[in-house]
Amino acid sequence: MKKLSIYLILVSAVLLLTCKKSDEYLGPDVDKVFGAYELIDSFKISQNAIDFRQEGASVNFSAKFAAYEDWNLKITGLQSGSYKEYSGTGDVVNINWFGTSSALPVLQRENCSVVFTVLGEKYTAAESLFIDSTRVSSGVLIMDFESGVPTSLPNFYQSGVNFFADGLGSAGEGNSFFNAGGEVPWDYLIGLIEFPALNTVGQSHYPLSTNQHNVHFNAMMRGDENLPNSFGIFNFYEDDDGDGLWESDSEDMWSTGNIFINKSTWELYTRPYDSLTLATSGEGANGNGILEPEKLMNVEYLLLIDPVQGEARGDLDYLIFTEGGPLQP
Amino acid sequence: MELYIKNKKSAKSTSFILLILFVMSSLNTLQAQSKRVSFSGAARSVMYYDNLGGEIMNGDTTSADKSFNGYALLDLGVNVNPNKTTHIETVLRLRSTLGGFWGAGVNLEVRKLLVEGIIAKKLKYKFGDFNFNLTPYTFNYNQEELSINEPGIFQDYKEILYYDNLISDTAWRQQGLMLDFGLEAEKAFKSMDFKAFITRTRSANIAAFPDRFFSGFHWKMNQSKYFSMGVTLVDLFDLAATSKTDYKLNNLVTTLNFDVKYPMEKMTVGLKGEAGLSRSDYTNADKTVKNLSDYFYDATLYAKTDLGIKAAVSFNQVGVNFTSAGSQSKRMNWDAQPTIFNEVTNDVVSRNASLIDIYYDETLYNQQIQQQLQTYLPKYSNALPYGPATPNRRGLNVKVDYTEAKKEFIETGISYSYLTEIVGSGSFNLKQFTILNGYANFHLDKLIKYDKKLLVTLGGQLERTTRNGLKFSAIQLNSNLIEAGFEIEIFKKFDLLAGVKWFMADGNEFLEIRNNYNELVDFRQYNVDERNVLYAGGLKYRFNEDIFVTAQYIHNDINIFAASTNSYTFNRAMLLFNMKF
Repeated sequence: MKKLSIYLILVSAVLLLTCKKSDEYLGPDVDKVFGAYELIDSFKISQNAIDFRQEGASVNFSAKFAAYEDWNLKITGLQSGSYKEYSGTGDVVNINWFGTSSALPVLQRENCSVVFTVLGEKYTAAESLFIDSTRVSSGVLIMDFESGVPTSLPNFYQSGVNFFADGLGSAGEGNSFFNAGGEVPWDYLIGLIEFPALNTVGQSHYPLSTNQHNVHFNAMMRGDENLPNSFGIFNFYEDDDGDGLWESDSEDMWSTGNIFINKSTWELYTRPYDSLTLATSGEGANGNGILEPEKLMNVEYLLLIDPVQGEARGDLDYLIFTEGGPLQP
Repeated sequence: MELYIKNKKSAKSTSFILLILFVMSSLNTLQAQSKRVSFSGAARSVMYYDNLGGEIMNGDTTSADKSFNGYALLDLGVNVNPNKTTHIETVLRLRSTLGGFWGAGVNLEVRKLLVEGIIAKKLKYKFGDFNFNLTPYTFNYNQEELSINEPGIFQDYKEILYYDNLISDTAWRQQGLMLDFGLEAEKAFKSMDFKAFITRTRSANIAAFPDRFFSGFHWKMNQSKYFSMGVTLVDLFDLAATSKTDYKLNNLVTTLNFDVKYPMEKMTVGLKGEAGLSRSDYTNADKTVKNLSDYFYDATLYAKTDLGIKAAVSFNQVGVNFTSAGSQSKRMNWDAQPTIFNEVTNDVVSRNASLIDIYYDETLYNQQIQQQLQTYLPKYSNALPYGPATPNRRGLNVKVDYTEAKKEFIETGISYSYLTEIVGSGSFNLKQFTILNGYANFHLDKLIKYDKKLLVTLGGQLERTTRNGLKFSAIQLNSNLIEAGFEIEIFKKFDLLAGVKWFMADGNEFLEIRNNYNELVDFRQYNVDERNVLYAGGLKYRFNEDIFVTAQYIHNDINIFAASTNSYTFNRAMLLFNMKF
């Protein structure tokens, strides 16, 4: 027993002596959480011009501090006014920017200012950056209106309204958009426009995956905050029997329901395909009732308002399907 | 009647009183008729006058600095034995706040309702409210901080705090069902005991969280006088179907314990230990799942001699992610605010609990098993804030106790622990902890042949935390506790009592901020430099072992050196009558 006692003490002593330092630690580094500000590496930008059309093109921003700091980085388009903003807490800043925007409109081909700040007025750095070409979003582009509104798109609009028109300047993306507004004292409908796959992507059906949970519909929309009762609806026509035609008595029409467009700025509307709802009765309620994005042949946009509310507005830009998540503008 | 019953609450209380009188009267008749019914219980009456002073009250024109409170209560226990194998026990509490006239301040509550018995002379069962514990790593109500060798003057009210908080030693009060089955044999083993239980620890909120249960199984075998072993399994789990949320928890702990001893002529030596695993599965409201598991072990080599010496050397390690809610829950709830003078200064600042609150405020104690590691104050306990099952610790403990065998004049003991973290917190460097504590009880009456009680008690603890590091990660925290008590029986059953607890802490540490999975995610700086001294003196008359009356004066002096304007004094004059029957 005496031997066992000695053995136990020796084992304990060895274990204690060998554990002076661990090769990991729990939680954040306290010296960096509570340490004083000190700039180790000043703010750097990897280049002053970028072509985001190149595959994998990105701009790198970096800085290093002795302790954790709250920092902010803002890239602002001098022409569009659009911006991309990053913020965080840490001792190392290492960001690769792939040309996305934090808000609409999206950044254009333009000069940008780059401002990096450490909160508390500890450090500020400024750089310039020229976007030679904007990024191309991955997805199935329905329409970006950069060549105007194609006259081949089926449409209907009430007389006297400004529905089927090109909009120039202050677009959500690029330089032009679909300009839609007007007043119809006798009807809810201001107008409608269709985007058949044949007229947009040149195929009978939109080339989407069969996984309804993976597909997202995205559209940039702008209204008028003084006309807050304007609303739009997107309808999605599926060719259930694959004959290249949509028959109202035997095929599905899915819908977003009412989307109130009450902001005077461009907003990104995103809707997962699996959250669309089926028409409850009448046309479009008689198909197989299964969401099948690969059978989608037409997208329709309607702009509406209660006639007693007066004028409506619901501009559109950059309609696109994305897979795996919403559009990163 | 209408003249006196002012409101519904008064009417309700009056009804309760009448009901109790009726039940007592009926049961008294029953008792007279047979021995199937008996009564037990406790009664207490207490009055105290408090005064808050010191620098914190300077310029304070809004907070009260004096307070008088008191109450009287009766706990009536009714024990019914409807047959030889069934026992029913209930304890009803009737409490009246002094100054609550006509029943307005009267509360009635059921403190215990238990049915227990034996089925077929083999299977014991308990159904209702009961206290129990298992092993130190599975289900154990850890001792609170700052208590090494309690001076007698503080023990009287502390026992009341324990009683009011349903604490008995390290056993938790639970509500549910327990089954107990035993076997005895002549060969292979001497005896075996099986326990199984399920208790409900939390009721559901339909929108926020489900019902929570604590269940388990314990098997113990006494193989011989040389060897015993046991297996314990406990599971704290949520019954997801009882709530609309997807959040649920499952904390499973499985351990194996053993005790090998070798009795010799004048001494016994042995080796005992426990080792086990924990696994926690958290399902969040968004259905994401997080799993954490870890292990622990604990081994103790011990010896006991006929000369009254007990010695033990232990080594234990508890993993970073070892989670055992039943053994890591704290007895003190440091997030709770004291009842008396809870807000001070014109800025209505919350007053932190001090020594006097720990000893005289029953609302600071935690009665529920907590899944989340609770707040602890490093100045009071930094090495083992969650008891032996504190995660991320590895260390050695040496302990020696001595009781003078002939005259039983002295009992004393000393304990030394050295622990470290297993993984650093916020730094690669590990914290190192040392705890040195000791106690001594001198029964001077036996030494000088005084025919009445004359007792001096001493206790103390030094706790150090250190960590090497840069400017901020370096830690040096010291806390010291000294306790001294004096009891002398001046006349027969009439005692003079005095006691002091002197606590001092200085240094720096970091408070740990944890997420819902008990993972460390952030720190808050913690600096302390204070002295906290509690003095008390009083007289006590013991009618018998179960009934006493005592008058005490208590003074607590809190010096916050780092911010002297927060220093204060808290004085209390108290009269207490207490009885058990």
